[in-house]
Amino acid sequence: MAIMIFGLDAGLLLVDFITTAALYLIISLSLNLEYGFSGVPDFGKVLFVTAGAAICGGVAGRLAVYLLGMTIPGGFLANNTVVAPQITTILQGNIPVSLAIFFCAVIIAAVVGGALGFVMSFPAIRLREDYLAMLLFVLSVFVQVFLINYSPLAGGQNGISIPDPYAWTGNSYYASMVVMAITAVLAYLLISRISTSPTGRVLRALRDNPVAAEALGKDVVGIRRNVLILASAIAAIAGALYSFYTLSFNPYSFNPLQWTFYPFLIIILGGLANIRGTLVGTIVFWVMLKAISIGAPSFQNYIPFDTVWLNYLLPGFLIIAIIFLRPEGILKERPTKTV
Amino acid sequence: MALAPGIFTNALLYGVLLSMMATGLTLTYLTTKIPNFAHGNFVTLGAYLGYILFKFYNVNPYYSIPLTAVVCGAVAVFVYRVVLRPLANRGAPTIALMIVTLAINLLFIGFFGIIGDVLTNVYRFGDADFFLLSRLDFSMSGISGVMIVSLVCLIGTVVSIYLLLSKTNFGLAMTASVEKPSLAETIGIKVDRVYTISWLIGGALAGLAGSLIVFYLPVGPNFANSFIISIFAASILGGLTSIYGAVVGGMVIGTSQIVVTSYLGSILGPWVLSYQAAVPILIMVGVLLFLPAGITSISLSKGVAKRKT
Amino acid sequence: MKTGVTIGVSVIIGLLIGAAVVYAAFPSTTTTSTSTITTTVGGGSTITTTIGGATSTITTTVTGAGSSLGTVTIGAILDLTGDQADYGQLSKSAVNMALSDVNAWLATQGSSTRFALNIQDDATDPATALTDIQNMAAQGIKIYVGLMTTGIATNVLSYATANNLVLISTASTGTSIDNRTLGDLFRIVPPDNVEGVPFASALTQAGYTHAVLLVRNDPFGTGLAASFEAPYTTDGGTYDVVQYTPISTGSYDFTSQLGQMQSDLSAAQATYGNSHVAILALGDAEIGVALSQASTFGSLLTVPWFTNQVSSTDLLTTAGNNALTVKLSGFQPAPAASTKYTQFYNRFVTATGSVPGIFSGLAAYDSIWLAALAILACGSNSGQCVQASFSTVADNYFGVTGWVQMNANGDRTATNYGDFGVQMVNGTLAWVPIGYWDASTQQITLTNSTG
Repeated sequence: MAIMIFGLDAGLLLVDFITTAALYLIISLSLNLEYGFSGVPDFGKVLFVTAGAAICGGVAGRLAVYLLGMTIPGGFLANNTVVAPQITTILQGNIPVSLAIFFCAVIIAAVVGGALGFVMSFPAIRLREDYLAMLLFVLSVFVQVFLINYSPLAGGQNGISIPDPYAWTGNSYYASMVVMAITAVLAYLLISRISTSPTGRVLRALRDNPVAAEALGKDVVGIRRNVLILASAIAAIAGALYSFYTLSFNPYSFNPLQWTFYPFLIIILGGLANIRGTLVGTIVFWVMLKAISIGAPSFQNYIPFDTVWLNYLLPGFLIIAIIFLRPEGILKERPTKTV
Repeated sequence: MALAPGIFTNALLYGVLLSMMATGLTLTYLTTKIPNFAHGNFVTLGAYLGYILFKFYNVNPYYSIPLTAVVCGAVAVFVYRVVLRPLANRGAPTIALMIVTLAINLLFIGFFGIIGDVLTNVYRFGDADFFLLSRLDFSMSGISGVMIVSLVCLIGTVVSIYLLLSKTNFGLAMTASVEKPSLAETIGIKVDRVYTISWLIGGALAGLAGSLIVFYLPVGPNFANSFIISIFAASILGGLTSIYGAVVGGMVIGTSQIVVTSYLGSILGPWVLSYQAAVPILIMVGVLLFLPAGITSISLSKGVAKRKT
Repeated sequence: MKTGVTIGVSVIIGLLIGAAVVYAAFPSTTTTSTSTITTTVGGGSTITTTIGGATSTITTTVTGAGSSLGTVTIGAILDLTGDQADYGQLSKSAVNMALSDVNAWLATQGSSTRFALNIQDDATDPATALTDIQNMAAQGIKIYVGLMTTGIATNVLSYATANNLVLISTASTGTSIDNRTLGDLFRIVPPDNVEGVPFASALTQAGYTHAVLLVRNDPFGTGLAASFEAPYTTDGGTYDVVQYTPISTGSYDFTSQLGQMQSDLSAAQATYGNSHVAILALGDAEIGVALSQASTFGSLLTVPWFTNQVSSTDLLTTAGNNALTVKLSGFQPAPAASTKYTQFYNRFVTATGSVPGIFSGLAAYDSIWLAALAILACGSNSGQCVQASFSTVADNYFGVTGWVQMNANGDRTATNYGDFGVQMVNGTLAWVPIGYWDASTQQITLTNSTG
């Protein structure tokens, strides 16, 4: 019963697009809060998303086993590819446990993300911005190396399967889309509120002139720390939701190109420190990317190289073009509202 | 537990090559203040040039070094002049420039991927995406040729830089341009030209390292990604504004990455070996947090003036 | 929708009857008797497959007017770039060859159904594979081939299950999903839990009581190692393991691993004697780099090396003469001897200049035929029907990899393994078959090779 447009299943495409766009909106908003508003260049964004996803992977299955009173000889981790689908079948009729694992995983992911943001705030305040960027970048690589090699948490390089918390709804992909979209809306409203609040003004003041702000009695260190905690928690929530979407966690899936660079591209494209701009940037960017990946096969035959390289060329050109031609992005930063 | 001697040989080679790459990076940073995340791609470019010249014209990569160095230097100058300098002149903040270099890194990867595809599909080179030319290497009394040539090149590089900085007018101009650019301008030094030439040398050094590295490690389009962290770690360890520091940093990071991992592996068990990539990261984190100006800030720096952080 | 399932069910019954006939008449691949399988294509036409004769030829005919399915597109998600690019590129050639063969066959049979291919590169990355399948699913593609690593297959499996897509993997062998319940993933190459066994047999039979292993630290490598360690230990062997992390984005430096191996080797040789220790390298094309870098650790080159990466020419180019020095050899699932295989082999070498291997062309070729036959048997491009009938279709299909028999989980059952060694052929290094391992007897037979 699919509506076909240009030979594409419109329903399926829309669900996938909304899910991806919502996911990236959440991450990009958190990045804009950190970099656009507070001036903290989080080149390690992927770290927080991965942490949230890993927590979801490590917690969800094990919690389900515990709540359902299952005994798995050998443990959940060793048998997760077989056990997780079994749990999903059980969850189809068990709403309380489904909700329990969903909320527990997401909340724990948020807490861990926030904790990591707290840890990150120490060097963030002391280091010069380019050193901070480098530090965060290499830390994100380190976390990936660690997760690949350390199996007990979330399966290491094997990854881990995750039981489906949306099984009871009857259509998991649709439910995942709805949850992702709702979270994106909540994140949007929250960060929008922050940006127009006195805290938002303070952030911008800190970003532009920390010395002056401190002289005026603003707690530079404390406010920045809180922002980083919040932004990191939000990014971790996005990671957990992504894990529930793919129903697996694999550390290899989290590379800096897609999870740090793309969000940077989005917020620069949309306009730094402009919330509506981030929304615009997310949609524009992903429409472009989706159009290329769907349209690429049709002209694949005319070019002697693989169209996958366009995934590198396009973002590269785009960033350079934006910074050259319109560095303030599609929507400029709004002047601070008073009253 | 004694480590195999081969470990030390490779560690030394790795350190030498890393020193060359880090020197190039430090050179471009201390002059233009842009941390260039695309520096590793100049190395890859050198490697691909050596590979292509070998496959098409049967030239041993050692002989194509001069050409490769010049081309890579020219490409580096192009990147600086066409992309980075105009943005810097417009007052783009450092972070924006870093993001731009990341974008250039992506462009290079795409470019190398396309080249690799063309070589595979049109010319049927099976190894265009993953090539190692160690079979072309020579050996002298049991030591691999690449070890000898790299060592010679590094020593030559350090000596040349020393002579350049201390004995030539250009060196004087560069020291002045780094310490006080505005003042240098007023006394007639073409600061811009100094900067351009520093990128030329930086790119050439990277290309040189790339030509040599094909004898030791396999290269593919994404090659830069596996090195860029080690290169930055080496430069930062040496103090991002000290050229000789970069040499020292490269040797330390390069040798320690292999020797430390192997040593820990022999004590704690082979599982440690999988964490080899973490060694330069942890060193870099330590330096950034506790000694941001690098090890050359501990003693008096002999290189170009260091910048306070 | 319901009528499709009914047709599918009746087809399956027909196939089962045919299968019974075949099994009764056909215990091995070479026989002088003939057998016929009849498949009813939706709408009244039949596909008849005749196997037999002294030359083991297989002919398949379609008779009667079948309702045309129009052009059905099959999706191919291949590793055209990244770690397994060499396998992926050859698989791409193979699927294209299979496609033209299928369409040519349909034309000679008078059917107006045709198949088309949508080939996507997943860059040997699970996340990219998921994006690829989502894009193709949006275009109405239901059946997919390729999915060349276990990580990739598992990452797209939940999406496939939710959307009733069928995945036919041509190179996933990881043991972590061996015990899954039958679902939308079919792996037509035998999983690794068997692949280690011929290695254990080879080492034991040749007197190597201790092995130093170099293992790729991912599900593929560790699963392969586990399938070797168990039978090897049972036979009385002992081993050391050194692992390396696969790096998808860059370069390989095996210095620390080789150093550790050298220590392990000298310790083992002191205990067991120089001629009783061998090296087993389990990984991907980067094994060639390890072999090349082993020059710096000379003693490693004095013992024989075994590897699973046979049929990789990249490995030979990289390793160079070291491959000869260490008498490199190894095992890979080998197709049963048949004229079909020989004809395909020659065509493939002529077209691509490379030799097809199980993961680099053979399974890919069969996967397209299996997909096409299943869709034809179902009479529609229905994921549900293809999933339900795939095992039966496969069981009745004799491809370039021989009889494609599937087990209850959707994996291929054990096949014979070919033993391949490295020799200098016309001035270049090449993989040459030097024997085979029989799955039923677990014995290795070496064929005397000349030069």
